[in-house]
Amino acid sequence: MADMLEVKDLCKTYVVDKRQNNVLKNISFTVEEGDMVAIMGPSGSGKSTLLYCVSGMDRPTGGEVNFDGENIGNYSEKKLTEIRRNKMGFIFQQMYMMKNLTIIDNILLPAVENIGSKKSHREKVERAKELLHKMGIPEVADHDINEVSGGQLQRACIARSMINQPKILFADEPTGALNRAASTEVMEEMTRLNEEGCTIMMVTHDSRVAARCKRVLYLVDGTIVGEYKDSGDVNTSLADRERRLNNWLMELGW
Amino acid sequence: MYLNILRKDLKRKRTMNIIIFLFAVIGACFVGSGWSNVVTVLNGTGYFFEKANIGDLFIVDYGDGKETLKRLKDMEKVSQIHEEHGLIGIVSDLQRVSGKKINDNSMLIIQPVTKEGITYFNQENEVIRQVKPGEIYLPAKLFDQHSFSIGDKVRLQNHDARTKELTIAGSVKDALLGTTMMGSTRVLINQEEFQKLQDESTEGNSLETIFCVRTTDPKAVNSRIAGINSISMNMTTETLKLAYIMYMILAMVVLAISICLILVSFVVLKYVITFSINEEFREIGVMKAIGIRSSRIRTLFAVKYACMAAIGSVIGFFISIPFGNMLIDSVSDSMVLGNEGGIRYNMAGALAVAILMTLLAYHSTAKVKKCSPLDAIRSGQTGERYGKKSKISLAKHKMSSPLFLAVNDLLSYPKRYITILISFFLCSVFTFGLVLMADTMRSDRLITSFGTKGDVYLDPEVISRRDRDYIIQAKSNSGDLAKQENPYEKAIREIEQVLLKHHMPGKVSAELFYVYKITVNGEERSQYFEQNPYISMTDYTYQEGSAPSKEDEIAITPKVAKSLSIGIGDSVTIAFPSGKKTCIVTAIIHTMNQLGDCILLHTKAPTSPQDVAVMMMYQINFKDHPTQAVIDKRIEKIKKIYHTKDVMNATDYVVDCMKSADAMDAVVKLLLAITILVVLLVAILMERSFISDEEGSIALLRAIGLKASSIVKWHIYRFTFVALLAEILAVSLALPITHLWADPIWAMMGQTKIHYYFKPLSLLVLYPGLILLVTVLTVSLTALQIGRIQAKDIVTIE
Repeated sequence: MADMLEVKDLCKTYVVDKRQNNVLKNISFTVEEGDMVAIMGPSGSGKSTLLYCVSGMDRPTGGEVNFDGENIGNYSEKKLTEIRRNKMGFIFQQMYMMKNLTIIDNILLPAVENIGSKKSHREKVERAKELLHKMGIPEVADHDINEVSGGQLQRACIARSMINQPKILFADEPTGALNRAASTEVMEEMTRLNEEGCTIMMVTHDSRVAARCKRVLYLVDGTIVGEYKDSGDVNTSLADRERRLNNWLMELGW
Repeated sequence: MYLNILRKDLKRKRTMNIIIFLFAVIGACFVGSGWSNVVTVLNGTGYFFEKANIGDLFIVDYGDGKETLKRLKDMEKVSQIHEEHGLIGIVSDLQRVSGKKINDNSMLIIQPVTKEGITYFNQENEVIRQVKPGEIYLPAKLFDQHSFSIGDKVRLQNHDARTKELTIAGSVKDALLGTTMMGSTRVLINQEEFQKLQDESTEGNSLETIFCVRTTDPKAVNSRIAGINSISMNMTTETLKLAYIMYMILAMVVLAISICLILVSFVVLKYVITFSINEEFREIGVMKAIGIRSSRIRTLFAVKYACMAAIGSVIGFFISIPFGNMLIDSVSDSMVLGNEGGIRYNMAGALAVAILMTLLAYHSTAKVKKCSPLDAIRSGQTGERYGKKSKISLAKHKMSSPLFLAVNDLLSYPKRYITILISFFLCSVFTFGLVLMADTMRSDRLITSFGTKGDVYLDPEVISRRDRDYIIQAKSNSGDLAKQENPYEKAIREIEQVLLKHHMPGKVSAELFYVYKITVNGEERSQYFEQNPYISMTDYTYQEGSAPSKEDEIAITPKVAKSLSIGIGDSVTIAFPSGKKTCIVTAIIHTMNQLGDCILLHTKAPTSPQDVAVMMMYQINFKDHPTQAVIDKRIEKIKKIYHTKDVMNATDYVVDCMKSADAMDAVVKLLLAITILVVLLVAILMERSFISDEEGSIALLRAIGLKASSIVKWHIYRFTFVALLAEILAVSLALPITHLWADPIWAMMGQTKIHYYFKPLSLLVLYPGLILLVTVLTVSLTALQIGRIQAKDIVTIE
């Protein structure tokens, strides 16, 4: 598999009151096409910062981020916006959506903004409906966002992130605000997307969520201190995978 | 915690707080100065008249005034009589020694300052007790109309063309004839030099006497002097006040602008306070959770706005004094202004603004009562309060994302945009109203207010001088007029011949004014009459009734109807020179001549040319019905023939008669500037608050790949649509709303039924377009702030 994302010596430093705070320290890793990677670590270890730096939402202080063969670190804001719109998808812990739009309109918005797309408006609407169907929530298409449950909303957010058929999906604590049942629903959808070929990189605190990933990067104080790779054995149950991951995490002091 | 919230508020919403503060300052300044100016100008005429000691009634007598004086002295109810003598000429008698020639045929009265006369003031409001030899004082209107300057050398000639070289010493404030609405102009010269000019004049040839009478019963005086042939005008000072109407309009407009601005301030203030409270949901929720009462929390917010209102009002008060003086600068050129209250009106205005703003602020904080501790927990959102928000669907309508977001916002939260709509509408509708007034004043729509419509109006100097001499001779009973040909018919024949010679066949006529004694319901009084003996009565436009068809039928104005308590079908006995005649009122007609105090006579009514007191310009109606372009060419031709600039079309004639179009244009420009300022401030304030309110949404849109330019467009579209709607409403309602507030002003000038005229390009395109352009530019520039909100901010925004 080709590398979808290659991160080399990535650094991120914040200066607060003339004091330098090195949040990310020379981080290097790669994410292959079709991979599903979780970033774990204690609070304040730099997980979200890493996710935002590699996704072009934030700018690294040093190092390189090669996405799809291009170093996006020096790209203009305009170019990064275009990449985010066309090649990346985002899911956040809080299910951010435009309050006065229906679910389907929220999903459609990035597609409509994608003026360069060869798809007609009708095709875009069909795609949105198809995604809602895939996510198991076709009935909420015309609902306002206050009329659906948290789980449905997060699945709608996933649908929105997939509308422009991105190459990679970034998720920051995608189940952080959901109950157990909703969390399972959302993760099943994400796993299915990955199985269909979508590369996923997510930040999570939840080992049950991370257990669904093929790889787990463990971050402490801005440095990757360990990498866990799932055996890939299809016969292994999710519970076993979770147990193994937890053992590994405990070794790292989780 | 209280202080922390306030500090946070002041820091976070700096721009919005500054704008609210500016509204307080501007509001206080406008209300203070507007109120003070209205009081000053409304009382100003009374104050000025009292200072000038002009009494209750003034009489212009074309003669030595002996008969008039005799009758006045007999009256018990007359407590004081000021008598002044002057020489009559035309303004063109005053010429620069070197420089541009003065071409003005309006009446000029040359006078000395005497102890027996009224009081005159110079530019510094000091009493002019005497004029030094070799000097002359001119009223401000002459300085404006003919660009004179103090120190200019002028040559003044009397009726017999004896000239005297004089230096302009300054400007005189003349309570009787100083306003532009008065057709005559008075200049003051030295007593001895006046005497010399008078001695050199043919005896009685150009003498006039002005009486200012103090009386408790002006009606009785009017009745007493009725029938004296030499009197060309008698007017109460109450009516004279109307000649200052434009100054009153100016002051009222300032007050109206102030009220408009205050309304806008309040609407904006209410929005900002509600917005502010919405943003503080967490702090308010926590405060409530720990048991702090709503009233205490409300006071906290109200205190901030009360402080801003108080400081803003103090600053506004200090600015209001020079600002107010600047606004009535043009008025104070002609009047001695002052009011008993002094700056107390400015102070009261500013105080009223501070109190109203504070009360409104407290009222607006009622929103605090709705915030609950739950809001703090649920990030300000309680699902229970949600209603269906989305109104249109992107899935069903193909449109660009900025356009969709803008339209959906407007439909989802219409209340949110009411503030912009009301602010823009109020300012625009008032501006458009003034544009309507100004355009009407500069149109031929008012021509029927000054007579009948002609193609061309002209006042050749040679004829004007001859007519003037005739009027003076007739009024002063000098010269043998019986042997003289009717000068008006002669002039009409001459002009018609000249026109024919130059291949411009036309019918010439003139509106002539007379003063005759009338008897109505047993009461006698003198009354102005208007007659154009050279046209048909059906040429006039009547408001009610039918055109007088016989010589004993008349049309009256609403003002005359009111003052004489008569209407259509009633009769009036008029003392014509040939004898008394009872005339029946057959119609109501609107006229602004003699400020509406006028009766229209039939063309065949038995008037005498010797009774003409005043006349309007000669008017030409071409017989070959030429196009306007041809008329304009002919105007230029006639100017060359008569070597005069006083040849004009109907529109210019109205402007000349109104003498206030320039002042109105200045007011329009002032209001337009203020509207643009308000639009600018409201646009910045609202757009800043929108950006602040929508930071989360903006970050989200950026995160999901919406271009910054699309987000900026969303904001611009949204604002532009509201502004556009406000402008459409303002344009649509400008006419009825202007009728509401402006018609009473026209009625004061004698025009009780006004048909407004407007230039479609300026009212429908230029002014709304300008306001829209300013809005779009302001919002575009303010919306650039969106650029500072990054996609990554989504995780840090509450």
